[in-house]
Amino acid sequence: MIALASLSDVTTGIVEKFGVDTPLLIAQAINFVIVAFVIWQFALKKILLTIDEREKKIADSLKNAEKIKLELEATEKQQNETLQEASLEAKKTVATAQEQAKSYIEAQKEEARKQAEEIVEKARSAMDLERQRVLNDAREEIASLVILTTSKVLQRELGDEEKSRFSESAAKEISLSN
Amino acid sequence: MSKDSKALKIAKGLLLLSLNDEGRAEQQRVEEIISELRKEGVSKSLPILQHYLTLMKRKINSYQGVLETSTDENSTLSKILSEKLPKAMGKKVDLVLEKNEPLIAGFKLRIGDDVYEDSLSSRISRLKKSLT
Repeated sequence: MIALASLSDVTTGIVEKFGVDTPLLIAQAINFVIVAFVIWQFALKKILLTIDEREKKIADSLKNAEKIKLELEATEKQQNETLQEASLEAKKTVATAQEQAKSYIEAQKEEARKQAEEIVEKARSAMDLERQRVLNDAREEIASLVILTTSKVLQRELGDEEKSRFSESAAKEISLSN
Repeated sequence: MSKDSKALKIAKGLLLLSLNDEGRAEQQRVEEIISELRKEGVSKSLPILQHYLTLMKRKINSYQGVLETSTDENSTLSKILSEKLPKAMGKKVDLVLEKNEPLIAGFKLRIGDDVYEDSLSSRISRLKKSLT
């Protein structure tokens, strides 16, 4: 009891020492509470809500950014793969085109070679024919000359007796049956 | 019957009248027939004469041969052929001689459409063919 009395005394002493007016303090406290409530109700609550929304938006944006980053990486990867595939395809196409061009050139060369051979063969045939014709002409000419000379010589050299002997011999040998 | 076939029929009859017993044309009979035809006038007798001439040539060619040689003396040759021809043809063939110097030597015998030749000229031609 004594202790409690002494504590009350101390408190009273402090209040007096600092000039505290209890009713005023209570009134001020009530005012503070009211002001705090009003601020909380009409300002701070909205601000906090706005902050929460902003935080949420930022978090979403960060998530989106991360997602976009991942998507971008995936897209880049896919793009690289596509580029590699395109590069391979292009290389294949170029190789095929080169192969085809090579085949075409070879075919053209072969065709040209064949045509050249045909031309040479035709020329050779024409030459052979021409040579044969000239030979035949020469042979015919020589034969005609030989025959003409022989006829003239025989006509001149054979006497009537020899001619008659030849005719009689021919008549004996000839076969008259049909 | 057409005019031409009638003329042919008459010509055939005249041809038979022109032949003797051996089936050969007799010059005198032929001359008489031609003389008679002349009297009928050219327009009437011409088709008959044309047929008569054709038939007569064909008939003469059947028993007459033309023997061509390069020499004038051919008695031995004619004799040899005259002996061979009846055996080969089955009938007697008269030979008419003609000179053909380009034959050089040997002979050429034409009887109707048949030609038999063995002359130096033909041998030389064969030689020429074989050479060319």
